[in-house]
Amino acid sequence: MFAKLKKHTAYYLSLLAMSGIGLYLISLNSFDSELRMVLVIMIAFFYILWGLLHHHVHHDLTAKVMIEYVLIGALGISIVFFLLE
Amino acid sequence: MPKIKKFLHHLLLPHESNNHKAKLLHHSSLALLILFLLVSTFVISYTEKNYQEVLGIDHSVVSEQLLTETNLRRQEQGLPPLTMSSELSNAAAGKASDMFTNNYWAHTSPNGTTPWVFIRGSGYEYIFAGENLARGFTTSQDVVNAWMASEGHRANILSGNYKDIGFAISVGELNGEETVLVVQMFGSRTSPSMASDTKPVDVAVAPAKTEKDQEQEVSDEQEIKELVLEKQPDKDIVQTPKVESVANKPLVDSRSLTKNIALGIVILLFIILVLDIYFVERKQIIRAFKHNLDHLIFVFVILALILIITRGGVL
Repeated sequence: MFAKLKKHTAYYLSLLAMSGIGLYLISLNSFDSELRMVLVIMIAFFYILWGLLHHHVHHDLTAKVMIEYVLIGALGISIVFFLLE
Repeated sequence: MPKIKKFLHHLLLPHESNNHKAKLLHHSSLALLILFLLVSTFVISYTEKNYQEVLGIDHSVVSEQLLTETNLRRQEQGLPPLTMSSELSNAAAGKASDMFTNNYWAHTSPNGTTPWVFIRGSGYEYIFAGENLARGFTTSQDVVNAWMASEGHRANILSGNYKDIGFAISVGELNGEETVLVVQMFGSRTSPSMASDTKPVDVAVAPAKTEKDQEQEVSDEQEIKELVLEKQPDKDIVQTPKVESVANKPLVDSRSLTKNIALGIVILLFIILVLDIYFVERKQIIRAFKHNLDHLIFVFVILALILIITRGGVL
């Protein structure tokens, strides 16, 4: 587990950092629902692209992996859309 | 009972029956969950618009309770209680209505209308005036607690300069979000001698912005203001429409409903992903998609987003 974590440290840290920035921007604009939605979509897109890029670099990117990232990202967007609408 | 246990195992934990991945993490389940959320969004939105007595914003924020809570805080500091002023309440109602009409969350409207215009418009001649705003809270106590936790708003509540107070509580759509808006206006009248002075001035004090306010996500620009305003011409004085300050009671509170459903889904996903990581490691399960830690980070971000989006705010 820790060996895996070490191997992917840069990936997880960059994901955490970008998510943190996204959350901070949303908290600054927490009452502008359009801007919040745009920021959530941007976070989800970054998560999907970063995940796919990461798997591509490690030569284990398959259609199944791609669909999984897209579905989890879309689920995140759907949850926020559900909450805001 | 064993059947239920087996089903829950299948649904939540990596197992032989689900190809060593919780059924809820399968692509078909995730797609179903997305479909459920999209359909629910439209059903809730339709019900909210057409059956407000069934689904809507439920709150118990009332002027009387806000006055009691405010005076209680003043009493604790040895300050005299504030008296409810119908003029200030009308000014607050005018401000609330203006905020919904012009869709802004600020002390000064996009076209430059300050709170003081509403106060003068109500016929209240003041030497000191102030304004506190809140949105997204469901009880009077929560509103006053949030103001008291913010230094600038607290200073308004505990100011010895004010004698009168007025409130408006209004439900409406602000920046695309259905919300409960609370406007609290403070004031003290000009004395007859001042009113007859040759050069009358109004001094208005708005709550000061502090570092603590920023930490608490006080969300809009606010500056320490000590405005000495010349008397404005009559054209600036706006009429203040009446906003009822009564508690709203639909059968189901739409905000709690959507928040609980969203939280339920995200927390369930979070637990399943943690269990997945644990069991895959412990049982050394070999599968195409080995690590879910990035999914876990993303779900955690969504959880934080829900908490940010659903909290109330003061200004």
